[in-house]
Amino acid sequence: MRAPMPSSTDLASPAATCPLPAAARTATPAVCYHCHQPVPAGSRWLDTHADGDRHYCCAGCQGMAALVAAAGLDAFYARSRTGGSPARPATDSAAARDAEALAIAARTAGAIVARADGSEEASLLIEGLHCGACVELIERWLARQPGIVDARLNMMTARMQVRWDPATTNLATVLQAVTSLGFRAQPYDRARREAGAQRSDRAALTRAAVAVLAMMQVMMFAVPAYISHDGVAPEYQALLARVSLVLTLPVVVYCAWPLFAGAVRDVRARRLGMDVPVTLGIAIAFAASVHATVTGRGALYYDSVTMFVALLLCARYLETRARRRAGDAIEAIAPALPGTADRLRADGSVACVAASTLAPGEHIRVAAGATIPVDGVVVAGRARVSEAVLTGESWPQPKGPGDAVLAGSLNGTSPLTVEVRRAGERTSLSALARLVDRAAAARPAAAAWASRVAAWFVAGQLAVALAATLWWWPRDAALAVRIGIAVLIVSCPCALALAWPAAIASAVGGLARRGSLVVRDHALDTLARVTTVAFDKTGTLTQGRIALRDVRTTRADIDAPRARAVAAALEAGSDHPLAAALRDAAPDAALQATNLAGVTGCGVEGDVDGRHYRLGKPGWALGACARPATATEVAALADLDDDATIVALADADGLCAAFALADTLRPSAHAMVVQLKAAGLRVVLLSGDREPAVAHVAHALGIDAWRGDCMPDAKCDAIRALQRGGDVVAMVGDGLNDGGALAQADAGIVFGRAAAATQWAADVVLLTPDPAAIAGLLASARRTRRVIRQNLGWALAYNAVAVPLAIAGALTPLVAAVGMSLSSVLVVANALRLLRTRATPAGSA
Amino acid sequence: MSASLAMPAAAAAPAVAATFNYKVVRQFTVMTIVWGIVGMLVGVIIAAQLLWPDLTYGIPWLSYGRLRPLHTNAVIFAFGGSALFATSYYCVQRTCQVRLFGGPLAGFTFWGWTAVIVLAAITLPLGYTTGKEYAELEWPIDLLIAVVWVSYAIVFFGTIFKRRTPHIYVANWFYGAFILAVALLHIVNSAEVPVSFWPMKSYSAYAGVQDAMVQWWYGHNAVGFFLTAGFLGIMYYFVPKQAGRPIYSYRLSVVHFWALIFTYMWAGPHHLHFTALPDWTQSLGMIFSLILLAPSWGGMINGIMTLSGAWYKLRTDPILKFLIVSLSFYGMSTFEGPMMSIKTVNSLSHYTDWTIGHVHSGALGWVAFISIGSIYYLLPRMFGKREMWSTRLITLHFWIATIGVVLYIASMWIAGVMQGLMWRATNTDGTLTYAFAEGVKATYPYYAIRLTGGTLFFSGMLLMAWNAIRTAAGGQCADPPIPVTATGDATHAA
Amino acid sequence: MDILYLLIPLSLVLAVLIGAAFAWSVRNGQFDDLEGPAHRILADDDNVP
Repeated sequence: MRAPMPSSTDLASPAATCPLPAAARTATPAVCYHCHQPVPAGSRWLDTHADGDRHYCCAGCQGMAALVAAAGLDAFYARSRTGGSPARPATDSAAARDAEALAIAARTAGAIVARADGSEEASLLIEGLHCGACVELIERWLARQPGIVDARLNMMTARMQVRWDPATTNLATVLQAVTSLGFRAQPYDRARREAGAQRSDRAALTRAAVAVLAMMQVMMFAVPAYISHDGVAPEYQALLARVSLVLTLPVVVYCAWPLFAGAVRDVRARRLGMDVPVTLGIAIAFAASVHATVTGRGALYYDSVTMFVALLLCARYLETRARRRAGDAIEAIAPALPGTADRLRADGSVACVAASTLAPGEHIRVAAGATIPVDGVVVAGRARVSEAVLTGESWPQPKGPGDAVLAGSLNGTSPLTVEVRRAGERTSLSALARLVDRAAAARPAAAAWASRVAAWFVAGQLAVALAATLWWWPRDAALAVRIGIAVLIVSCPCALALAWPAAIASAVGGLARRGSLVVRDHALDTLARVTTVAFDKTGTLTQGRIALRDVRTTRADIDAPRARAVAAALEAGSDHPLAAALRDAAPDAALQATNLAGVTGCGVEGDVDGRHYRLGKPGWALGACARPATATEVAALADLDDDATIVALADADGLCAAFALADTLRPSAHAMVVQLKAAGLRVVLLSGDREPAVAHVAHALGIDAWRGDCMPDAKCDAIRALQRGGDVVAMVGDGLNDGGALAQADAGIVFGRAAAATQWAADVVLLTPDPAAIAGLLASARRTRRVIRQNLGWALAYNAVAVPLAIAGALTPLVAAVGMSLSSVLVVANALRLLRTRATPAGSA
Repeated sequence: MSASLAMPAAAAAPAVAATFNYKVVRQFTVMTIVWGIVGMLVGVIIAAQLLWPDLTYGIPWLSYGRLRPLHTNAVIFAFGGSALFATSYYCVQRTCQVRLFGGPLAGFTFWGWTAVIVLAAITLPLGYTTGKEYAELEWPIDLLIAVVWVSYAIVFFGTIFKRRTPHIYVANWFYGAFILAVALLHIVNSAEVPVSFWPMKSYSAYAGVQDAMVQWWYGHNAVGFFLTAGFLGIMYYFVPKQAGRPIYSYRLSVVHFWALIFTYMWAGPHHLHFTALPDWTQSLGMIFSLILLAPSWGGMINGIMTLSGAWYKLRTDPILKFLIVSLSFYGMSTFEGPMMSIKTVNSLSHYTDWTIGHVHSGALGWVAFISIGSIYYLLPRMFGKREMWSTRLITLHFWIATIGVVLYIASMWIAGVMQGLMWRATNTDGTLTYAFAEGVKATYPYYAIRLTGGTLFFSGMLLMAWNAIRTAAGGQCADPPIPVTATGDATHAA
Repeated sequence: MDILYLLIPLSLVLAVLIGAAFAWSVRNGQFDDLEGPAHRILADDDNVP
């Protein structure tokens, strides 16, 4: 009944200057009004209501209770007090009550998001998933429920995005609908998910290990009969059969339980999944063996049963673990946001509140070294803030009043006061995490097709098994049973049902671990087909930071260091990127400029050490001197690289110095272009920068096709032209001025600005500022496609050979069991290769 | 403040006085060297007897038939056993961060085990034997073994139980399996009916082929759990420690353990190929022997790959040389063993000196090498020194021992295959081509090479003893305190 | 070969014990971290000071 909430220990520290109500000195009740935990003696968190005081164990509970009341759900407390649920019919009152409690808790914890179209959305954790079919089952089941707009379940993380119409239904009903299928559902909560995962992980491991242990023992008792020359004496055979029965029983009853549960679930939902033929095979083989053991006549299949179950469980265990690891990789990008925040009251006092209850416009304090819990704007204080988790930029950025800060950033140096813009599930970080989740949940059309084919496959398999058994029955009943069992267990739809989702999950997870987030479901598929990669120069191939490249001086009275110092002094107040570069070029300069005046579009002028200087565009700067430019001056300006931005420093005596400022290439950009070309891809550079600058970068990197002075529309046109030529284009940009191009391209890759990426039509977000990730991403997409094709090819070949052999009676159930389970392990293991992080992702597809 | 003071008060009493029990480790460490010398000396003597059959003519207690079981008992149970006691007591204390459980019980295991060996060294030459291989000792000694072994189990598992670290390191799992399995094997196989106390005599509880079956179920698993699981425990602790690197894959080591446990128990009957044992049990033994190859090699690769990226350490560190070369011999033996359990191969190799070569590639190359390596690791720590007295002497020991093993194994391989071929050669009329004595004569030069190899290995042990004496000289024999800042201090899991 | 009536049930008992030991270690969390322990033994400095 307890709501998920920040643990009371987090909040136990005295929350600054909470006014101490007089009532607190009187005896406190034993339990918190909200969470029912004991209230510490002398607690000062309480509300005064008409029906009496309500005491809380912490500020978080107080905040939540206020929200519950605001949502008109106050009755929750009445029900949870009396322990009953008068509003619900008594069909399954405990489950209903739990669902309702969970739903209310979810609402208070901010886990329910209201969407623009009036629907509501929440993330649920589903326990008990064990194959791709379960996902489909739950989705379909929910789709049938009234009021549910959309439900998408992520196999990788066992999380479900569900959207519903609040007018028709509510979260409690949704939760109950899932529970009625035999799965457990609860609003997503990180800590609880980990505990749940651990529990099911451990159970799966124990099941698989027990099955393997039993398999070894049963094989030991079965093998003699196969290999000995003179057979096993009947009295020992009877002993061996009985011992085998004892060993097989736990395998069927305990280890194979998830398979049976899956089959029952499938049958109840009137659909065919992999578990149906598998469990039929196990059940028939086991029953036949028990019969043979009791009567002493007939064949024993204990070895087949145990081996089949053991290897199948191993394959599934591998698959589950891989999905979890992939999920963890995605989790890792979204660090836990702090559960609480220090809210500033109007009177300047501080109150510790649940972060998700913060409303836009409220002010919070963020201590030095703390993670910023919300998206907002700095209103007071200056600090360096690291946004590494969002942008991949590890260098802390200076932030001051007016600067935007994002949830998940780390406040490095000194306290900040931040005005809340977005909190809880509405922060950019949460939004990004949701995007990735949604992409992983959405099955590409092809995979959906695969699961439908798998259902038909299973239907065909059942029909064939039945037909084969009936056909052989009149000839040899024992053989007919054997063949029926063999057909049931030999054919393997794993490549479709198990390995396809596993391949995609592994690839997405492996990429996430390397900082590449796939946020659209079809992205991997498209990326595998890409023939041309178009780059936006700014911020992708270059550092995105302009630096001083060259200085030329023309006069004896002013040398290069002096020129840099003067320039830095003149630019002290400017936030122009060129100004920052000039300041960075003379970090130790201590000169002061006076009478500074900026001239828009030209530069800045002012006095340093009593001399008047102009700094800016050469034409304007030289205007400081009455005479026309001399040949030396013109030569100095012309001598500088033509792709760089030229800034001139001049005084009344003419040109003092000329600065060449240019963006610098990212270190791995060149290697990346080489890799892309080696993979047979065309590399195109479309930039809004000046033609010479673009040419310089293109030459430096060995890119043959480039265009400078590209306006956003021109970029779109260029991409459209490429597409008309039959190219599949991936556009790589920073999402700032190329949103249109990103949308126009077949695949949009946003680089380094994950927070901004949510607004753009990105398919993939790269969190690392390393261009090598692009080559790795494309290689990974191709590898995924290759692995899926390999698996399908294998499945086709295997089934084409194995099923006819089984029908013909050429396969014993043992061989069938070995064949199917090895095939299953093979395709899953093949898919899992995609999770591996490769040091050199250059692989040409 | 009052709360922070109250906490240590409860834990203070043990924390101040807590030391590791190094005394019993030191005792077993020293005796490992002593028994190694004794056991290998007997081995050299019986090898010489094969070369010069009249060497000890007329002295009954030095006859080959009595010395041979003394040799096997001395190297397996005295030398190998002491090494296992020493290393397991050391490893379990260091990895659990507690003193050995049971106080004086640990000391009792030392004196008890030493008494068992001394008794064996007396009774076997006197001719008291049950006639069961590797279980020759008579019933009063069997009882003493059982008591010592149960004490060992109490000390070891008691230490595990009161550990201060939540995790049980994988080496301890191997040691634990070794202790339990040996207890079970010993008790089942040594079930016997005493006839008289002096002269000691008993009869096995089993008869005929049953006895053979139980004997080789025991005999094989003695190899499996005594000479493999136990020494893998040494490997998983001492190889990473000496290399200063974590084991290549801890996950693999855990899988290795369980795979070994799941499969080992039933490989025994391959010792009885082509005997009165039912055909199917023989085949069973063969199959399981083959399956065993997988976990064995997994373990070997895991151990050797621990050095990946730090191979250079092998050049300068002779202790590491011992440890790593032992693993390559382990790999060789565990490949050779399953091959020899295949019936067709076995029909050639059985009863020939090939088997002797196989056993010694395991016993000298694997068991002795890894024991020697770990004892070199322990010696300086046991005597308060930073390192052995002479590293060059260790290097010399390593090379002498390696040449000795290679000479031994190679000569026995050649002799064994030759014997097998000569014994099965027939003329066109079906008569045997060679008389048995012709095979013996052909083997003679190889016995000389084998004696050379054995003598080299033995002299290496003498070098080790000298090095150990010089290391111990002037050393301190104190029990070191248990580090207070041990990992997982407060998180003991019951 | 009546001995099989002893050895085979004995193996059954062993299998149960092994299974129980494995289940205990899973539940006890022995397999939760399969990397850390390898490093932890190296952190234990047993050299003579």
